Amino acid sequence: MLLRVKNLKKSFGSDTVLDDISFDVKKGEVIAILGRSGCGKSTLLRCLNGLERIDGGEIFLEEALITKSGAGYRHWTEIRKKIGMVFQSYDLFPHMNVLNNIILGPVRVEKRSRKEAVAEALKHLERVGLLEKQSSFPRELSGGQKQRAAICRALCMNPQIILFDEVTAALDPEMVREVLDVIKGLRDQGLTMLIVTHEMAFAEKVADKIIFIENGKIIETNTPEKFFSSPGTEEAKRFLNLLGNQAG
Amino acid sequence: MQNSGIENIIKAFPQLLGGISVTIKISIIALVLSVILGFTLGVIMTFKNRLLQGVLRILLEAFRLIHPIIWLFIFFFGAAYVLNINTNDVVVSILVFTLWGTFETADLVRSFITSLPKSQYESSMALGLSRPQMYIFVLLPQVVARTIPSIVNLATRLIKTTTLVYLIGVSEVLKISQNIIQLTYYRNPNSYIPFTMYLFLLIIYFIICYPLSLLARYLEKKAMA
Repeated sequence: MLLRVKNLKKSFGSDTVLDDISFDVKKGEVIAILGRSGCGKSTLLRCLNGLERIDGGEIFLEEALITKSGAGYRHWTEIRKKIGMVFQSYDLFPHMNVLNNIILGPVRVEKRSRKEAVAEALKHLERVGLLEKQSSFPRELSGGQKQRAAICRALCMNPQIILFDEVTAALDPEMVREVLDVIKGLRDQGLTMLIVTHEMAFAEKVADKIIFIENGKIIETNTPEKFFSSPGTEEAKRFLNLLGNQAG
Repeated sequence: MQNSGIENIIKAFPQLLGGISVTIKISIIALVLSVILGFTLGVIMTFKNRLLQGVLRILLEAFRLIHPIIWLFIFFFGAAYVLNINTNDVVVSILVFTLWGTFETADLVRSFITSLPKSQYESSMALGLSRPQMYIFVLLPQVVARTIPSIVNLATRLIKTTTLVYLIGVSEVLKISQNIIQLTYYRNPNSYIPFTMYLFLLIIYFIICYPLSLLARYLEKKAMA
């Protein structure tokens, strides 16, 4: 098992945002995490790479416990090399061009040679169709281009798993597709991914497994086919109905 | 024309130049140290340590609210008295203005760093950058350009305010001017030397500070763009 989450609990003050969350991620698996806004799905992703401290439970990466109590910044630095993350707001560094954004991690964190890092960065940029933008600054790019560059930045660290936190939520509709296509491409290469998204059609197409969360609890875990055609729980039905009504 | 005192100023010009160079020397050394120490302290002020924050906050307010003259006196006379040492007037001046400039710069750097979007920290962390790397490669470079106009501004204020060091006996340009006024007056009570001398000083300060002010305005415009 690549990643194992056991009885994870997280609260902000007296608010329990995640309660008794357990699931496994196999290598090469793509899991879509669905749920209403504020159900705790983004918090869950942030717990997995230590951006949020958890209040209970355990997380294992390749069978090694990564949530030891008292684990400091350094410990998480090591984990974050293996668990990449792409955010909703792209978060490229505005003072660096695209190429330098991408090679910062490989050169500074992994101490790889600049030349080698550049070669790999260009390979990723070419794959997402941004080769000609390598010297552009983030402010010169469209939202979709920024997000694709941010994905390259995460890829270039060669993580074992990448967390996508609503990566298309801030994009104009016509740019959503170009980003989703990139993620589909990654899936075909066998990358392990956890995807928090509001794009149901995309989740259905790309995921091997759907995890549906409501009020901080996993309500249903299912295959995409079953989840979208005949969900096993009332909560999921209501969630899908609501979306259906909105779409209609 | 005879009583204008211009020829006295011309005669004393080398001394005046010496005084100006003392002013500029104190200002430049204090500025350079302020920038180096200010950036360091500014970074430290963003750390989440309550005690450290509190202490630095108090020192910052102290240096902001209490007039530099008082600090000059405290360090010059106080240190001489308490530590029983011979305080050097120029060293004390540099020290006081460095502390002043350091806290000004530090607070500026702190506020710019904390105003960066939280996502900049998070995406640095998510990349596995260590804390020093996050500051060196991500946070500080975004802040430097924005601090430059204020630092140039600080330079102008330093040059103007360092005039005060004449009060602890540093022979800077104001002190020397006053000597010249006294001497000229003593020899020729009809001389207009005070007026001419201070007009001369005004021009000198304008010549030094105006280009800096223009530079600050230009940099500010550039930073906004």
